[in-house]
Amino acid sequence: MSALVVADKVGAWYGQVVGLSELTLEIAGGLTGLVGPNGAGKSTFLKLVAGEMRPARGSIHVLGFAPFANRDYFRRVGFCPQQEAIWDDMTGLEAVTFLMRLHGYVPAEAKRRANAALDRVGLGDPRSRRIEGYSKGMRQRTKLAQAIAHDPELVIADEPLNGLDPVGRAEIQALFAELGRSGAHVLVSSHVLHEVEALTERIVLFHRGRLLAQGPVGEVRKLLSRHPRRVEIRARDTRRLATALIALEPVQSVRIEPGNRIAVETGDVERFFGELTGIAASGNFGLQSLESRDASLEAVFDYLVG
Amino acid sequence: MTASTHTEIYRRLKGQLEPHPPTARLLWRARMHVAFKRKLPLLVLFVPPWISGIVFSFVVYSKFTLEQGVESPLTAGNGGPMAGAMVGAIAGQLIQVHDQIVMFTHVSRVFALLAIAWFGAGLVCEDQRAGAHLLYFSRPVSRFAYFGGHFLTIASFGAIVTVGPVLLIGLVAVFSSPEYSFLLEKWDVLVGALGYATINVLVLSMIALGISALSSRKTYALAGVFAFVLGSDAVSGMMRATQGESDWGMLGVMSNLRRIAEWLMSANRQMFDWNPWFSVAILGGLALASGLLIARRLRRLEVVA
Repeated sequence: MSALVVADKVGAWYGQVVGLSELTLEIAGGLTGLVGPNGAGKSTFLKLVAGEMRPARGSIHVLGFAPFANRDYFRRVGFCPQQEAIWDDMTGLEAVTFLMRLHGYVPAEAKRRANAALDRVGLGDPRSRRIEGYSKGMRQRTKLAQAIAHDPELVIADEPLNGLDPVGRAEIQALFAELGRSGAHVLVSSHVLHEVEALTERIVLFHRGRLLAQGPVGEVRKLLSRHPRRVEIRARDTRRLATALIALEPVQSVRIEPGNRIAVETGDVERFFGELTGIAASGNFGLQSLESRDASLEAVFDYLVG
Repeated sequence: MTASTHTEIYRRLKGQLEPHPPTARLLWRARMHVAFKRKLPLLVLFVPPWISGIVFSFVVYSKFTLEQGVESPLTAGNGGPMAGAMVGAIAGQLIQVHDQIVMFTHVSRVFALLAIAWFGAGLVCEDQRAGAHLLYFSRPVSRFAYFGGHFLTIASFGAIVTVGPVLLIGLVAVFSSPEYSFLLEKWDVLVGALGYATINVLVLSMIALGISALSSRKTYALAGVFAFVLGSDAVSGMMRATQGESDWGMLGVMSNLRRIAEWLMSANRQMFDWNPWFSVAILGGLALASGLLIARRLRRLEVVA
């Protein structure tokens, strides 16, 4: 299977500011999350993928197309930008219908698709009201609707969960999952790491316009052998347990924290877990829970960007 | 290169697609539709020029009919010495109507500026501010179509307040003049008036779009359009007054438009007597510069976050 996105030494600048620098990567089809702090280059990369920007250097191919100003490509892609973007004076239905007309759909078909897409994103009656009266979440849903209304093969969503309440967030996450299951490729960016983590296992990490890491969250973490992994243990007798843990060879540090918790840093997590099992069986420490802090994307990102 | 992915199981494009959707026209229609939702600006900006047009039309009508009686002097059938006098009277009326139309075109410049500035100043900058250009340019919409759609929008509003009333006055003049004498004798005035209205709209639309493309907000663009157009005329007026030389009028956008109006409609030159081709060149240069500016800014929309 060929890659969905192939970027080769791509560079992009905003005047003197570097947007992306010598970015080389391949992204396979399916649902992929783009993660990084603000200014990391996620939006720039997505604009390159969406065909909004021309790379200043290098080349990028998506679905086999060079995206910039490529009419055939645009018909196969839906883009939900981070910006407000939608026109206040139109209703949600008018805006999505208008954008479908720009794709070339005849009026009746454009309206049918707009209604169907607004149904999918859960924008009910408000679709007939002017967008100026919409909440942030409603605007976000309208933008998403215009990105999926023409059944694109690739949906590109830049910070799509911004402004959504928890219920809306869950609904949109379910929508992305459904898009993925139905065969569409989805590229989603977010600076809120757990949002992406809830959506997909496969991530691309950006930092200062460069690719930091790529792959399943767990695998990305495994690459970081030089970083100790953190494990949080809850136990009744933390002092005794900490004393026992510090004696273990794989343990690099032990810190007692409030709430009967112990934070352990280890260079070899599998060996540590093996030895911990022995300790737990031999001593009466009242072990309550064990959690790897590094399982979260947040932790991986913290490691990666220092 | 080609990429084969798992998209094969995804829904392919269905429905009826226009191979080359008229994106500029669609954009124009959408913008007009949106603009017509807000009634107050329409009322404030459209009613005065149309009332003026109706008033001027009534004056034109009265010149031909009310002052001479409803029956046309040419059709009254009296020959001899009376006929010569009547022909002379009609010639006088034609000149007066000609002057009325010229006067209206002078008035319409202000209406055009107000309408074009109001409806055009926000087009590009508000798109850019909101990021709406990202929605356009991720679709089969070229930058030229984007410009075309916006230009058609702004020019339509200009035409509604200038070309429309001029057509009304012209039609009233034609149909109320005896034996369509206004059309037969003064057709060049009608053509000139329409030509001038078109130039007026084109030039002001390009300037407004250019300033909109440069601005970050509609209010700034609005102020910029008025400052540029009226400011240039204020400077030219000041220079004319201090230097005593009418050629300084060439510094002002409105002065140049007035000079072209007088030229196209063969009107008596009251203030300006420079070669009208200078005005054509100046305004053409301004429109061209605005066009280049817009092209550059639209090109830069690619990289505006």
